[in-house]
Amino acid sequence: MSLKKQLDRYKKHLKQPGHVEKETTPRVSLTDIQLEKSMKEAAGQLGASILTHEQEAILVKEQRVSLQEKYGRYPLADIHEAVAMWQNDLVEHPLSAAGRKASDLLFFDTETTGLQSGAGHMIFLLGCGWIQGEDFVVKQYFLPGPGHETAFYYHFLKDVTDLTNLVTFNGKSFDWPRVKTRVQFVRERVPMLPAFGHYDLLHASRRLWKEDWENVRLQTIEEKVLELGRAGDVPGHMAPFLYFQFLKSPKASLIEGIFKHNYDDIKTLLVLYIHLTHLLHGKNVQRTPKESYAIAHWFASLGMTREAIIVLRALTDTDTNHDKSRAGAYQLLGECYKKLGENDLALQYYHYVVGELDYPSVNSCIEIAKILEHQKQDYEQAMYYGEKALEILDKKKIINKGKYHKMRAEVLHRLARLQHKSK
Amino acid sequence: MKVRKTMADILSVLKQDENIAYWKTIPGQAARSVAFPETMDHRLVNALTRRGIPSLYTHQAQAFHIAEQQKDLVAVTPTASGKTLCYNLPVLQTVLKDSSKRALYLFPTKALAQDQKSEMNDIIDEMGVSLNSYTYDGDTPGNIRQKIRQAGHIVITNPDMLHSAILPHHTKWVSLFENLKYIVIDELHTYRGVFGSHVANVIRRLKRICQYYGSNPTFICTSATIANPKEHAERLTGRKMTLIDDNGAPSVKKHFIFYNPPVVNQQMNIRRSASLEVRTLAKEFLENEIQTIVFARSRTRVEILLSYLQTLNKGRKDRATIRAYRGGYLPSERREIEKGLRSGDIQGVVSTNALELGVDIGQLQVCIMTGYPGSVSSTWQQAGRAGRREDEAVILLVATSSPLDQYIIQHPDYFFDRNPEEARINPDNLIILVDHIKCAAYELPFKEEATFDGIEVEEICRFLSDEDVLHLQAGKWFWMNDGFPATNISLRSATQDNVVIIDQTQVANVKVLGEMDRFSAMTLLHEEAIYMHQGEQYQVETLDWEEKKAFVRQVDVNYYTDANLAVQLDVLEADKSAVDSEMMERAYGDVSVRAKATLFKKIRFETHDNVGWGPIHLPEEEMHTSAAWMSFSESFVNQLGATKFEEALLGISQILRHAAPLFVMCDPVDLAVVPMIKAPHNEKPTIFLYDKYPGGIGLSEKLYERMPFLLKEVLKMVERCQCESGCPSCIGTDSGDKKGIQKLLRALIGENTYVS
Repeated sequence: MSLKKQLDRYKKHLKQPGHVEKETTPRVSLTDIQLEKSMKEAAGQLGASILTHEQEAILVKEQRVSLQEKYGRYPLADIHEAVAMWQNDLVEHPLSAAGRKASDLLFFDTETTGLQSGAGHMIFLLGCGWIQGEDFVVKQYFLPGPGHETAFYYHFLKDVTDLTNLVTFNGKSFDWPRVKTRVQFVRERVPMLPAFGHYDLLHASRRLWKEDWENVRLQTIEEKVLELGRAGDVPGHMAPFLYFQFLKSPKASLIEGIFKHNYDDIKTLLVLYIHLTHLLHGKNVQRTPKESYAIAHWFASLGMTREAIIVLRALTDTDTNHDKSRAGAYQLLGECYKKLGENDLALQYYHYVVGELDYPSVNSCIEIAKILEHQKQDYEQAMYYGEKALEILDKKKIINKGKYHKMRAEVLHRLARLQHKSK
Repeated sequence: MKVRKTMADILSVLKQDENIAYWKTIPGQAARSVAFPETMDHRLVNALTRRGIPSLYTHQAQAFHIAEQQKDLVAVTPTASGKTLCYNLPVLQTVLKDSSKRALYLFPTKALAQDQKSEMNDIIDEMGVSLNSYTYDGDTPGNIRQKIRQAGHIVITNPDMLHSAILPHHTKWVSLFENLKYIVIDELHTYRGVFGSHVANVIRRLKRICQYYGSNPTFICTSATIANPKEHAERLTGRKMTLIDDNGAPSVKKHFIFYNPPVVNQQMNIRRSASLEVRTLAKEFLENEIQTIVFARSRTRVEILLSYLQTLNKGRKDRATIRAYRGGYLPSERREIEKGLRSGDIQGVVSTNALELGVDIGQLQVCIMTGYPGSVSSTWQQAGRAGRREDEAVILLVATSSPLDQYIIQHPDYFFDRNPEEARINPDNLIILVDHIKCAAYELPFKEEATFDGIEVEEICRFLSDEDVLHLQAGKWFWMNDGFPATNISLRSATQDNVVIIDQTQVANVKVLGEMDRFSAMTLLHEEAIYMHQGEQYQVETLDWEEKKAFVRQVDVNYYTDANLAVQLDVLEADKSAVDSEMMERAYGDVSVRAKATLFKKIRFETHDNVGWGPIHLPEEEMHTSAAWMSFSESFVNQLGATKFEEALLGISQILRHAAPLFVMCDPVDLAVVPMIKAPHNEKPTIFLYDKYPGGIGLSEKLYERMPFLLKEVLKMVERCQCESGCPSCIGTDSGDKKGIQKLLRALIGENTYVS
């Protein structure tokens, strides 16, 4: 029996589970000449030029926007002010641009043939944007077919020699590993991949908004804080399908929307960086109490304790919300002062949380007990708070059993020691 | 005061036991050792010497020499023969000489990989060198994965991980693939059937990636005793193999005893329960402090036997300690059992066949098997657990009433003379092949003229391109789909779209019990079906056929369900055929199987009364696969009479259901037997045996070839059964016509022509 016949016979078994029949363009075989011709046409319609290398070709499109243009709530020119803010304050912060100029930043985003990270998925559009004089330049590299990756990475890596100031949205775990994977296949024929350093705006955005929002996608951020809305946007998840269609029949109309989407994403990265800078510095923008708390928490976890205290002080002065969020802020203040060795202040804030606000938490009680035990040698009082911690712990709804038992054992151990000491 | 009996005392009493069906004494064998090869690194020699290994067994030395010459090899190694040194020595030698070299170890399970890692690390520590050996599996923490990829000299993993996590991400494993010197495949015999056919393709992909990175690793395989180790290894790896089967490890004198429990119901030919007999037998050894391992076929059995045996010697201070051993134990738990056995703190182990898989807990003096393990090779593997150096060893095989057990116990010659089973795979099964060509194309595009380890792929690539999976450009087939092919392809499941069985007994703890292929699910997971899982009963509450989910809840009822499956078989193409006698012709080819579950019956356990029934509403399922069939001539039917013939046909099918898997060494669920009074393609009475995997995995082809021999064995099974007119132990039912079947079989194999 011929293989063809067998393949037809087994077709039903060969279908991938969950495979949905999609409307697809019939596959037409194109001669090289036809392909070249339609590629030229597509380039013309897209306003892109064709660059070649080793018999391979790619499309490159460059656009310039004046920095005076307002994109959402910010004029693009605000990037200069934002970069200036980092020069003296919060210089240790991961988003800090201290020692850099606005023109050093490279805003970077890719479109891929799939969301998985394996060797079989490709990047077909590399987009990057940077400040040049009075303009924001966006340059996009497009892979017209899988056989052109050498040219694709050759031209990209020839142009972009410094990747130490990459600004991305989830670039560390998405875009960059994919670039590395693909360059692996053509590494002998393209320039070396330069060292990579980055500002990951997804990480920052999650820190600020994860608790409150359903998701922290770029489009959500645009709508909620950047005063941006996209009309007629091609959703990101459609990009692979449109690209597959384009491979079968290279028409510019199929991929125009992807170019636009990528271009918009890169501009959003710029204004998002401006916005995050303002929020972190507390300048030109009103933080919500939750944003303030999240920022203070972030600072504290980075060891920027004094900066965290400043944010918290401002927050506790103004926040008139319900006690839970205030309790959180005061408790964090206690932690910060403790870290600075100012035990009296720390104790004062913890007491405030447990007493005045009447919002006793296991942590505050334990912290009070610790300070009382080690700094004040007041074992009786320490035991009181130790027992209180235990009481709260046991009343809590247990979610993480392991953690619960560990905490409980620690408290009991502390109490036993206090008992011994107080004798 | 009770005096302890010696092994000799017990054996002499046992010799008088009338239930002993057969007693074979296997003489011991002295070790054959040779000095360490001169080329072997002195650090390795010193480390081994310090660990109490002063020389090598002949087979270990042979493996070392062959592997050193970069020749692929397969070593057949019985239990406890020091097989790990067969691969560890050449591998360590190579990395000691050049620390840039790498080795990849494949084990069928995570537990075995863990074991191997600790053994490997012990030797490495003993040598005091800095070599890295790691396991890489689903449990490996993310933070050390990168280190393993870049700096792991020896990476120990399983085929599933290689398939779904390593090969599709080969760009992260460049230093492994560029420097890969050895690929070690342990427990080769476990890679058979569907699983083996998948693994063979994973190896094709592995070789392809190695070639891309410029390495050409040597394969070192080890296998338990099977009939065709060389052929199997060659099929699995696509390489010419050197076979090492001359085992130099010592063995003690062994008594292999077949024990058949007495018949308690003559007419029904029902025997006393094997578990009860095992209890009595094990007790005798354990009470006299003779270390014993008991094998049982299911977890429930293990637990029952354990609870009984643990009550032994109650009140005695130094009461015997009996431990259970089940699959899924942690290495530390196993090591504790092993230590206890060595020190004598543990007297007995009750185990499922989890221990069959090379997990090393050392050897004991007595091995008792509750029931025939199902294949000659597993039996030898379990038997290998008995044989401690100092004393004689005893192996007791206690038969159950099942036809297979009774056949074996009454045919010791079959067991002892016969080669163990063959391991069969079919890597070229079209469905499996296409799956892996997808994965391979994902990993690296296929050049137009390229083959997949010798297999032409152009037509398949063209097909996949029509399906919008691949895209041809610049002479290469590129993966052009947003999916990740490996996630949808499981190496271990029978078909791609299995039904998942979900236990919702505890609302707060809904869990997945297992999976089942669609075909079997029609009769075993229909709504209201009683589904048995590890001895527990579950009732299917809902079956979502579209979503492929069966929701079950644990129940305790005194019946089981038996569903009726209307099967329509159509022969699509006969590839081979033969006429063995006027009575019968046999053939092999492609068939279409259409099955529809119609109704089910509820049957009470003890009495087999029908206590209820219900309809099954499921759509018809169709599958294309390969089949062997035998058709009987019209004149033959006339001679016997239609009714008698029909009974005989059903009876033979019933025996074949038990016997056929034995001959092709497959899991009984991989093979189906369907009798038809009038087959649609030739209108003759026919028995079909087909592979229950789309496209076939080579089982029925083998059955076709050996049909005359198979029928002879089936006849022997019937003849040797002591029942009068058929029983569940032979023809599967007590209402069959045993004589008719015998006559039919004799006629078929041409022993004498049938006269009515």
